[in-house]
Amino acid sequence: MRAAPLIVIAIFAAAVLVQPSAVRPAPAELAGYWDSLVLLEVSYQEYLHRQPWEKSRERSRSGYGVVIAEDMILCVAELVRDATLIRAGKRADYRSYPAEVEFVDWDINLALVRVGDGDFFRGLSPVRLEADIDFEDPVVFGVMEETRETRSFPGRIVGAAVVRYPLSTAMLLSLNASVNLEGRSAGLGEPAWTKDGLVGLAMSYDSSANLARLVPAVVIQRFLEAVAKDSPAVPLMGFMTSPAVNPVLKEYLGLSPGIEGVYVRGVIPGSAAEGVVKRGDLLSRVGGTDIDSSGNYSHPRWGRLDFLDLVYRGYFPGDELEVEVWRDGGPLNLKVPLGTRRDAPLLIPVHTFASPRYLVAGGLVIQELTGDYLRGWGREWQHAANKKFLYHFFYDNIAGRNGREGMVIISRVLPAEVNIGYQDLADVVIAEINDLPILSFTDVDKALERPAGGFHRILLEEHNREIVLPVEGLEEADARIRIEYGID
Amino acid sequence: MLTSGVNRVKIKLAVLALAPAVAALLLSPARAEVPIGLERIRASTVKVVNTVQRPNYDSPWRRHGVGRVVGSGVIIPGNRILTSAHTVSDSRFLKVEKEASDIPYPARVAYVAHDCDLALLEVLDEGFFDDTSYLPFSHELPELGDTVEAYGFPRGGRRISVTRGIVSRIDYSRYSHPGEDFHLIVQIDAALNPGNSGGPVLKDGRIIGIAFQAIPTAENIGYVIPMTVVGRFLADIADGVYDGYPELGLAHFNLLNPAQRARLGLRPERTGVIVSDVLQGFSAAGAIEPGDILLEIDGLPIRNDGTIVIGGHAYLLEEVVERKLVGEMVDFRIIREGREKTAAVKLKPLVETMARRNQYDRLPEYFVFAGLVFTPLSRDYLRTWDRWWDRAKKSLLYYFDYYYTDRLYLERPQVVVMTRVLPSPVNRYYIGLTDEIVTKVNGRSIADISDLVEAFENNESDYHVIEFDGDPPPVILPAAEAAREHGSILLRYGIARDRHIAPAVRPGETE
Repeated sequence: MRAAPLIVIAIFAAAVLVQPSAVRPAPAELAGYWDSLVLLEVSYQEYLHRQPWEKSRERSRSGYGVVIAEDMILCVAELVRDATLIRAGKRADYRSYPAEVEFVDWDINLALVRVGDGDFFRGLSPVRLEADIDFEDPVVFGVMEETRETRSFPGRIVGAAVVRYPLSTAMLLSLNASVNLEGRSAGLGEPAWTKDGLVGLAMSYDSSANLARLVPAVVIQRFLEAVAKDSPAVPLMGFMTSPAVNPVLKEYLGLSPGIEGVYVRGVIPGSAAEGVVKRGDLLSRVGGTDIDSSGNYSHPRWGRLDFLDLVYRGYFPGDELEVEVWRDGGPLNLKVPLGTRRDAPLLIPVHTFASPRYLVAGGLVIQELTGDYLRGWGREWQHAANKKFLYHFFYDNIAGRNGREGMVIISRVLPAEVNIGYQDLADVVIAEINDLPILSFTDVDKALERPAGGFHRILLEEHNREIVLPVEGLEEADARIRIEYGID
Repeated sequence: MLTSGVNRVKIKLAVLALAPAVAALLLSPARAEVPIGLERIRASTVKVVNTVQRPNYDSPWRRHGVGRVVGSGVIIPGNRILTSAHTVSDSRFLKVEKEASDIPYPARVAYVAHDCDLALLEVLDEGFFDDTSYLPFSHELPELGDTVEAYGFPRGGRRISVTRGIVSRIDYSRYSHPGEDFHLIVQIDAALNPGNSGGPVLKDGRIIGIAFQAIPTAENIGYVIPMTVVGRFLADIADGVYDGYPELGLAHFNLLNPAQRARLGLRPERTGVIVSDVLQGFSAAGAIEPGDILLEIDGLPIRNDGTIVIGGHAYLLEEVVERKLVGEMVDFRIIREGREKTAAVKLKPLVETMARRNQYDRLPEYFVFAGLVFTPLSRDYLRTWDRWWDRAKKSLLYYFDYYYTDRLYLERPQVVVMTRVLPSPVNRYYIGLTDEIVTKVNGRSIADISDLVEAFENNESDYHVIEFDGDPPPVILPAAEAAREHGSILLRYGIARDRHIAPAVRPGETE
């Protein structure tokens, strides 16, 4: 997928005809809401994807959560990524309480954190979610210092947009709020309230524009429903679309120019949509709602929003999506089964949330190629990283083509006697091991179980080069390498 | 030789025996021998002034502005002037001048070798040579530390200039004129400046090479094309045609790893390299196969790291080919499927389907249709980006860098790119598209730009449909409207011809 700028459909109050249904006074007193605000201090350690047996130096970040249930705190998932220790704090209490991640859904950027010590929740109460919010409505952002003093900042809702959430590949509704946080950095869960409840949690903040982007209450609701069902919150649609504004495209499809919809430009191989929706279809209705040729639907409050919001926020994995498409000049009603995003439709996943998958055999560091690995090239990674990897990541990243689910590479070779002659290898793609095609990382172990003639043979894509490791003595060599290089 | 993924071994060279025919060619004097002093050198070194106009790869129906390139040249036996190719390429008007004289003598390029940056000029008025002399060639490569002098007409004056330095290194290096080729260079610490290019570098009055490039950021590093390369060039053109450096087209790797050797059943004394891929269309195709182990080349044992030894010095095995001409044979001793045998390779001219070298003396291939601009991917097109090796579009870089490595050339000999769209009503929904690789036009798979032209011109349906690499949606143009607007688009954008399609040319040819 391409690193194009996010397509932000920002709808500003001035352009919209909708008048707020009621003028809400700026909340003078938010005392009740401090009772749900939680300070979360997270110690974390990132993985070093280019040296996957190690982790980086420990660091810390802090952000906010809100009490969502008797013993549970809601926060943005980004806050707790790679956490080694989470400490919760509350107003007027200087103690810090250890907490643990109970549930996390990266695609929707939300997590539930549990505090073991029941004392923590004394004096706190769960927040109410307020979904009924409108343009120009005032909100208040509440924060807590390390000293446990609270501060509030007034702001107002200035728009809504369907955007890619941090750490996610899905696009979901977010609310934009104008607020001046006076030089603070933010974006790790600062809650925005009205006197009626929680409007959203900040997932990003642009201090030069004084603009905070919130995970809105409706999305939080969605997440909680998913938790109750023990399901991922965001489904996999299984096909890709693009705007069909050009009337010629419709003519070509045998449709009259008045028919609105988006063009299906591809279907993910192996997804449940395969065989149902086809490339070349014009998608005109989703779940009973019309879509225009720019890909938008009409939201009663927020105006025109990307239709993906209907899918990602309206359905769970396993649900059926009713759509209308135009095919061969006529309309068709179809039911598209929705899959799970973790079914990994990407060759090179953009984000991974577990330790990097790797193994060292004969000093060859064999790993799964991920977006995290690419970002290990530093700030200029989009220019500096291996060109073949970048090509796939940005232009050809749908898995399932040619049966391939992922890319497995030899990232480098830890020099040892057993790998003389191969020590300059770096960033090469493994095609086969012992005649077994390597279509994903899980194939590597399987392949290494079947050497032939006393040798392991690894076929690289580049130049079709084959390298060989001996079976005899390999275990001992690997043990020595692990000691030499300090690997687990 | 072209770059390959194999590591280069640093080598030091000494005497290189030139083929007898070449030696004879170089020794024949055209006039009475004058002792080689400064007077003779001055009378043999000329200024070459080239009015250039480079093609524009970004807007290939146009050219860049007219400019001037000044270099030097040296008169060699036979009333010819030897100089560097980059001084005389893309020429609109070429002249040579003698020291401190403005009398222009129009000249023409008799032979040019873009793959090693050399050219031979003829002066239209043979009277030019009445009061000149020539310089002889040296038959040996210089040694490290030898003192040499570079003569020419660099910036800073009108009279001949000389700089002196020592030979600081002899090694293989990239020739930046073609961009992809590696040949021997002699590195000297004498100052070389623009204007020195093409001028003689002398040791004891004899030409040991032609000055040709410098590193702008480094001081006291100048590069000289050595006699091995010059001599080969002169031998190559003896038959009236420059055939260029042939390439084996082999991807081969070391046999240093004991397990790999054991699996291949190689006894320790059997040394060589293993071939993993043979490029179609190159010289070794058909004679050598993937999996072959190369033991000897022309009788020289190949060591496990791919090197051979000649005269006590180590070289990469490709050095044997570096010294040969198209049409000559190279004999290999190989092991194929466990059996030892011989394989003979006849060296062929190198003809590549993708212009991986910088091109000169020809126009870019392109086709403009309904405002859509198409051109084949080439090194020249990539160079329209600053720091192109990092900054050019990733899809183009992938196809370029991995063209042979991932065998992309088999499926897609030419990578045809829709570089941009010249706005017009018929294409107005596609104006922002840039640099998309074309996979199909009107249902036809596109292997080269002629395919593309045919697919448009032979289309009988009401629409033109263009599909691209990756997953962008297709471009769809109504055929009738496109045909109607085509002419006016050309007019509006000042495009005289809507296309330039040319077959691949050899390294020494001009269009």
